[in-house]
Amino acid sequence: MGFYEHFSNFAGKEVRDFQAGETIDPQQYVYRIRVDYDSEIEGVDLLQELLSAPEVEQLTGLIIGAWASEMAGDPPDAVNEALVAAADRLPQLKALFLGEMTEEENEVSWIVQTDVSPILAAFPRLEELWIRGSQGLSLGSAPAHGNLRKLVIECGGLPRNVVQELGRSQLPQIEHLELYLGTDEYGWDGEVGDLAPILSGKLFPQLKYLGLRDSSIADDVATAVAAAPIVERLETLDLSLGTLGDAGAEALLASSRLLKLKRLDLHHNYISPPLAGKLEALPIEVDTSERLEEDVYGGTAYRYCAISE
Amino acid sequence: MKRLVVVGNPENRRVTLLQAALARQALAPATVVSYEDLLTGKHSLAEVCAPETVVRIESPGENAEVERRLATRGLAECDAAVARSVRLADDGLVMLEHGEILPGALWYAGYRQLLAELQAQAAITGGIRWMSDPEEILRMFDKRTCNPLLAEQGIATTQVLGIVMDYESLVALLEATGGHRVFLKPPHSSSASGVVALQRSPTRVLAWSPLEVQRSDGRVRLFNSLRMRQISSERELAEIVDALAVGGLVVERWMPKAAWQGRTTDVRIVVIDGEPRHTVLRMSRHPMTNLHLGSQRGDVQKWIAELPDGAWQEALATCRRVAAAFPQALYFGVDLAFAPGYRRQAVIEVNAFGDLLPGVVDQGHDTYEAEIVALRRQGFL
Repeated sequence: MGFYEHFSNFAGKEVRDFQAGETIDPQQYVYRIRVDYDSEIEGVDLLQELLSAPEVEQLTGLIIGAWASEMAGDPPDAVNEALVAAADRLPQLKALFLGEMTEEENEVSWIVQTDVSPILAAFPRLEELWIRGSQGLSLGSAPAHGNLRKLVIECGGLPRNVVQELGRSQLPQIEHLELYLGTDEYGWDGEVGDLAPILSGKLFPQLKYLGLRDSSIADDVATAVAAAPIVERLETLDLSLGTLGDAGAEALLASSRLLKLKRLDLHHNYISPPLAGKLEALPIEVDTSERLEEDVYGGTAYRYCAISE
Repeated sequence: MKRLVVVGNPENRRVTLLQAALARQALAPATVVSYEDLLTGKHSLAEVCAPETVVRIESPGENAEVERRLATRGLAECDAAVARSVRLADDGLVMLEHGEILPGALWYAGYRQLLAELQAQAAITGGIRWMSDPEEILRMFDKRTCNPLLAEQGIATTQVLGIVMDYESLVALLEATGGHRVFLKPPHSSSASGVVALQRSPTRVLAWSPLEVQRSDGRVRLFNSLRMRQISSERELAEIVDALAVGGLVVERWMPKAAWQGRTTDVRIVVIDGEPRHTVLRMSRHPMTNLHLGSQRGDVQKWIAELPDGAWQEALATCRRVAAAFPQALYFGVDLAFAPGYRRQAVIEVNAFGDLLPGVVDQGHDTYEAEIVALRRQGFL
């Protein structure tokens, strides 16, 4: 599995692929910069044209998709620099997605990102930041932003540096933090201990949704989360898309903190039917759908994250 | 006499479905002439044809003996590299294990010879009518003749970067053209047999293909598989491409396909008598949408209803233009994909035998019955 479909809606509006020469309607639409596979134009040129439209000052949401006609390790530097340089042309920008590409455009583990701290600094009113792809990604050594409410990083494997940077962050308004931890095959090089600052509850006083998704060490993550103070503050805990099995399920069941949640999302998991039944019986909304069986080859059992299959 | 003769593999469901359709139309069963009998010389088309006989050429596929005989016939015409890549069995025919992928050039050369013989046999009788002319079938099967014909009609196809003979020349082509994401396809094949989807950067490769590799006595042999596998080792990829590219491998740009309901999609549209008819929406979670590789059929009507205005009309117009490119073919399948955003579309393949869509009904008829109805309307049956 991977990311197959482009967003049709983003940040409350319908998404339109920006076309060279068109008049934009930011009241109605969020725009996506996306270069077709046989196009001669570069994403950065398309972006510059969008940024030069007078109406762009009303733009509330922007998606950066495939920024070259054939993506293969092209870094987003030119696009990001153009965004930063034009920050004053985007005073209403509340939601930004960097790298919204489908499997058909670029394998998620091949998407190259960069240090996005200049973007965080240039857009102090940004409320929502989505990033797809993690190669070369950094949020800056100690990311700080006074308005960001939602941060989503979708990838095949989250590099440890990003987890550590989040552990040093000052993002006091964050309500929704969604991280795809992934597998070491695609860039995950951390361990569960790296999540401790995030789980301490001190960093994100407003957090309502915590997603530690698509993890190859989902049992360890669930065990750590089950004991974490932050859970009591959450409305949704999302440990979906990973390799969660009975060890993690038992840790979750043993934690009374969980009962304060509204929703526990565990879909795509390796939990046995009896434990899944117990989870489903909890007096909160629990999703244990997409239960998978381990693949056994040569006596070794394998589990797969959703993004790595 | 107005009657139907089908050249096919008698055991194949394509023949069964045709006979069933004839029965529904209260017509006599078609006379079946098997490929094997034609290839061994046991029978000739001339024996069963009379003036006004309609001849249907069915797919020779899914029959190992027929494939061996076609490949063996092709040997004499193919270059030394192709000939060296195969072995002969004790019966003097090309050796073929179950599922093995033989060089497409071999099959195509053999098939071309056989169809030429059938034309000669038909000429003895005179006055017969082909459902689809053998020349059209051959043109559709060879991407090198098919794509230019489509281009003449102003039909967008996936862009061909070139033809390569091995991995080294593939790399050179990709570097010269800036290609990073391509499909490698045998020049004359249908289905996904021997097809590789490849993403390549200077430092990494990632490929998908429904094939298995076997190495024996210094040879690399490739086998069709129903499972898509990923190849991330450049050495293994090079070995596979070297084996596949014997006789040439077409390199096409990879057009990203639009997705629907979380799956990559394209459509197979059967064109009958110039009109787009039976349509199947194919939905996949990997780069190939062929139904035998685990893709799902989607709800076509719902999908069409959700397309942007004009997109489906354009696809139908494209199918009619494809029919204009192959005027002597009564029916064929068009595989068509939209790029994300649905502003662009391209014909991926035209398949002379693309009408095997069991259970798909349009205007009350399956593809076979619709083809027979078209023949009757034209006064040929």
